[in-house]
Amino acid sequence: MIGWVFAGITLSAVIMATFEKQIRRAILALWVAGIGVGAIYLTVGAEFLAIIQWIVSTLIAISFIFFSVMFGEYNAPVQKNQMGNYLLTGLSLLLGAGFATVIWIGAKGLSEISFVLSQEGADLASIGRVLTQDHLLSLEVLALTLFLVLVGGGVVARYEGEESS
Amino acid sequence: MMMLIAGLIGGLGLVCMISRQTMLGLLMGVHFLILGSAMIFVLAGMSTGLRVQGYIFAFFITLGGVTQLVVGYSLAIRLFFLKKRTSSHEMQALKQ
Repeated sequence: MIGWVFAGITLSAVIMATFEKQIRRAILALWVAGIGVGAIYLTVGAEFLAIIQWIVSTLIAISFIFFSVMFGEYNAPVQKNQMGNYLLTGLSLLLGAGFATVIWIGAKGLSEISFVLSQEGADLASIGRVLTQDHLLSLEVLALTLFLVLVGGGVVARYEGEESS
Repeated sequence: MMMLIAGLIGGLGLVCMISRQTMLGLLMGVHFLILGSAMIFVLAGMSTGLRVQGYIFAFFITLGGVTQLVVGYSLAIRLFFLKKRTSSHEMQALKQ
């Protein structure tokens, strides 16, 4: 039952973040959505993922606030919708509904999720063992990607003005 | 039913990516897509009896999503440096 409550909160927050015009409310809804997904993970027994999700979502929400303030969007006045925007939103809604339908049809063969805690995957040791024994290459690729992104992000966002003598 | 909710979160991410006209809106949509897809892997792992595999895929997707967001922020800074605004219509300026 509690899992469905969290799912409802998460979905409401995602809807609010998608359609809210004021960026600060949208960022708050984005944070609530991330916390809600973490809470769903917690109810299914994935504490490890829940904590990662909460940390990542909070850091992302903070960085969204930082960048929206930097770009002047945080307190920007709300712009009125134009006809073209309604059309674009309608088409994107169709696309989004199509995406959800494809997932739903694809998942029909799977058994229904029960919010019953399982011992499997409940301890960090088993997850760490699988991660390092079965997915070592993926882990290395991820580590290299994170490293390259740090370096590349710094290069892309570098200052190119006149250097002071 | 829970899988449908995960699909809806991903679908709304697509809506957010298309309908919002700024770089930050685009990144917000990417974040929702990542949330939805990670949830799909966790739920599919639970349904098929491969819980740990589902968790690990969700872990990879979440951290992969973080890298995408970092690159997105860098591009947004670059766009702001070139055009003084971050509207998605101005993204062609990044080709310069």
